[in-house]
Amino acid sequence: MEDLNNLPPVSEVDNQEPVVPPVPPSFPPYDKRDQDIPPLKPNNWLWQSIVATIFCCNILGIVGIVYAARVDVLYYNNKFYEAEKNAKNAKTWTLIAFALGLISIIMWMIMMSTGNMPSYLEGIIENNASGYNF
Amino acid sequence: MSKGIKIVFGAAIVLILLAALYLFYYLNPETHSIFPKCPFLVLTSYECPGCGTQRAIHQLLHLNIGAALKYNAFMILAIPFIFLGVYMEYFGGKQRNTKLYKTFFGRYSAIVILIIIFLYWILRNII
Repeated sequence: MEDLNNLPPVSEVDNQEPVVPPVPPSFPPYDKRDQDIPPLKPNNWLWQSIVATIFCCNILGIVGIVYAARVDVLYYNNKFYEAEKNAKNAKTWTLIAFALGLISIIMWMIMMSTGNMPSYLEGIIENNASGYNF
Repeated sequence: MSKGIKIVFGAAIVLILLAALYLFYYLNPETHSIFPKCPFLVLTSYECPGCGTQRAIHQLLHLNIGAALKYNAFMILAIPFIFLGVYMEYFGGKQRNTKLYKTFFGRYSAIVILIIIFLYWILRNII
């Protein structure tokens, strides 16, 4: 009980000088530092998407090239986050083009070897040749 | 990916490419029907930028560059670029030839290629 009585009243504690924490060294704000050291340019899958465009029997590779171009434009305009996002899209579309190309080539070979393809193609050609199929 | 998987993957791709080249050398895509047709061409009867690649490869393997250019001129231009890309990415060209890398994979290359592709796409269907 004695100890409690010896404690200073509340008002005195509030009036005491607060301990000043040491001032941290001032850094420039984060976005400014990001501009000083730009991140590495994300891989834009440019030549891979060209391979997909030319050799994979579909035109989805062009979507990949469009995204690759967007990556470059955004990156050199200091929009690094958007560039990263577009690089991801470029990769996805290029891989989709590759996968679709592979599937279509395998399908074609299977249909050709089973003999279903010629009649199927003839059907398409006949429908298109008439020109009045609407 | 670990190094062993990478080597196996690369070897598989090289083997498939060699097999494909063998096929393209001995069979003419113009006369044999096992080679797939472009779905874009079948559906719209317009040629896409990749149409004619297989016939062009056949002619290239027989060293008829003129005929190959007639089938798909864009591919003949793109093949050196693709080899350059493979060299830059997988054989350390990015570090060794920074100047070459900057000229061909620099700021405007993707846009230039995109413009070339669309021009080629339009022009080959007009002319």
